[in-house]
Amino acid sequence: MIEPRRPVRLAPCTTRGVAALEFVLVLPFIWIIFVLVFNFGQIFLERQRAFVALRELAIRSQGGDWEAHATAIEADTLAQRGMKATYIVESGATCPQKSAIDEADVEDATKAKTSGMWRWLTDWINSALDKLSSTRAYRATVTGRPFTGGLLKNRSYEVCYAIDDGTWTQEVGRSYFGMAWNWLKDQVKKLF
Amino acid sequence: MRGGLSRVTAARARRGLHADDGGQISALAVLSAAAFACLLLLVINTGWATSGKIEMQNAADASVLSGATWMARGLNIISVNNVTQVQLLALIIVLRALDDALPLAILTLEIELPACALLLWGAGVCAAIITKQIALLNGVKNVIDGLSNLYEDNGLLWRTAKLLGTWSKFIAYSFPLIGMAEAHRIATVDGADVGLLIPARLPSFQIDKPLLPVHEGKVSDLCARLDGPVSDLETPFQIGSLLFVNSGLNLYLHLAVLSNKANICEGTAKSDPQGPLGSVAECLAKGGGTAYWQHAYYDTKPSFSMFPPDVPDGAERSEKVSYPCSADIAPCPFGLTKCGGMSVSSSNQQQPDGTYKNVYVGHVSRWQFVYALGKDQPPPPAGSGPTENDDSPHPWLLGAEGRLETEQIQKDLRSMAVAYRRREMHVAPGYFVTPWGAHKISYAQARVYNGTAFDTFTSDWRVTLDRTSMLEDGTLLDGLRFGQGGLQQAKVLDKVPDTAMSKITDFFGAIVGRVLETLNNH
Repeated sequence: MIEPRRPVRLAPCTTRGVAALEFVLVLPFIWIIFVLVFNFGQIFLERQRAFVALRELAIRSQGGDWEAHATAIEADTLAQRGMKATYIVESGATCPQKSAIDEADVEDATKAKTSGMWRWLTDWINSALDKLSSTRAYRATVTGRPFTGGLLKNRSYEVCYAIDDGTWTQEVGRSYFGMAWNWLKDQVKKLF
Repeated sequence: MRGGLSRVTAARARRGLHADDGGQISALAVLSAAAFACLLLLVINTGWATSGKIEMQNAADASVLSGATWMARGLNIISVNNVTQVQLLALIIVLRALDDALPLAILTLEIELPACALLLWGAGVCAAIITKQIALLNGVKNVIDGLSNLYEDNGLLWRTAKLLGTWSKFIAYSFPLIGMAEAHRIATVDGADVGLLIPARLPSFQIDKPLLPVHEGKVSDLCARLDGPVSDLETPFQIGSLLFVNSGLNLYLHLAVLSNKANICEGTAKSDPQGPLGSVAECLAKGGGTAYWQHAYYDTKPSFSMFPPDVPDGAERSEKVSYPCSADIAPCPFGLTKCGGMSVSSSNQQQPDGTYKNVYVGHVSRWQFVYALGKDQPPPPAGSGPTENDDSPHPWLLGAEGRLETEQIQKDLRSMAVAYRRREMHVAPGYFVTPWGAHKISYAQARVYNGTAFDTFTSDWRVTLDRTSMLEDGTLLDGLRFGQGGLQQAKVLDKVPDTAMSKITDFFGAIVGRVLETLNNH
């Protein structure tokens, strides 16, 4: 005779501690979110600082010797955040466009918009300005403090700031005689 | 019956759905995952948007600095031109003075030469020295005579000085336009689609006036009447040889004056305008006359390059305004070294709060052409400057025409740039970009300042970023409302009644206010 099947009785379960367990399980995720929020802010802050450093460098050097100002700039704008920078300053204005669409697309779009005589004219003006002016591209590779939480690798920021910053200011106390002639010679040299 | 069964089944199913919570978490998880994905995309896109905003602000900063740099360049070149004009005119004076003075000096030496024989000892040496000096001066005289086409009336130097004035005019008109082109170029290089530079004078632009806040001066602005004590003969060139020649010449001219061989009315040597030859005008009328130079002596705010970093820069350094030929100019103390270049002094001054602070003052001097008349030229009427005519060299001075107050000039030296970009990197742009597209716009302001002296004779014009004020204080609108801008010049606005004009500008003011609010909260 088959015994009637006895209802299976599970061990009486309890929900005690479930909330605590869930809380503990969720904690790492909250931690991750918090850390990422902090890292997010830190990234923007440090990137903005890097731009500020480059802008200050450009303003202070005014087309002159930028290396003389680099140390002071670092002390004024970067050191407080534990940041360090390596600068490269090049003649000419070329900076990548990071948050825009791809540079190639920009180039294509520009070409599509301008053509013929107008494009030739704008190219000529830009080329002449590039030669005539003191345009320089200030680039910096900046490293900041290690990220909070250690979730992200410590990264460096590559920022670029192109500016025409040479005001052709003459040194105070220098004889003015021949300045105009020297300036003219310099400009003619640049054109060729 | 069948229908009744199905109703029962459906009711059971509904009860079961409510009673059974199986799969509930799955549904929640799906919804949460979607929400989390949206959140993630939003975070990423916000990151791109913020990054784009930072880039646009940098583009606006770089754009306005680059554009304003051309304004500073313009003022620096005009300053160099003005000073070079002064130097060229001074060179004319030097050469004419030498032409006048050398025969006198030679004559004086020739008179002194026989006197050597009266010496008890060293007569030979005395005669040899004087003979050598006469030979030297004769050589210089021959050179000066050979250069007469340089310093004669309408000579090469005079024409060059005029040419520099024309060059300054070209600079004043063209450089702000180049700055506008440069601002656009730099903005595009830094990631914007468009960069628009708006110099402060643009709204009140007139086609026959330059955008650079300068105006054409007169030749008398290069000059000043000398009514103070006359200093030693000085040269505007701190060049050893020329200085030596002039110092030596000064000695000879002293001798010439003492021996009454020269009619030197003023300027050179230790002349005595009120002496036997009467007043300066009378003296000049009697055929005397030569050249002299005066130092312009300024007390300035500290210079950027010469002061400790704790000295504030910016507007405070440009507060002191010294125009050429103004009452601020005082004669230079005797001696070149005291006036040449720039010197710095500091004093410990008590501040209003009782503390003491080192106050730095820079003394800047520059050479300034006064005027001189040749023997064959009529004397100037009393109280008047040099003869003014269109054929004279003209400097270009600070301040647009009719806007000569210091505060106004400082306002005119501001520029604003707007950087705009339409495109932007987005994840899932179809969901996150508004139908009217992604637009980023930023603006920045810069000002041109002079850290040494607020004039167009000091080539120390620089650029710095400024707190934005041109939109906020209504500078752009005031140009339309009160300025003599292009529209007004074309008599378009004359036909609009004042009340209507006021309403129009108020309307645009409200729009600008709204735009500003949007930009600031962007």
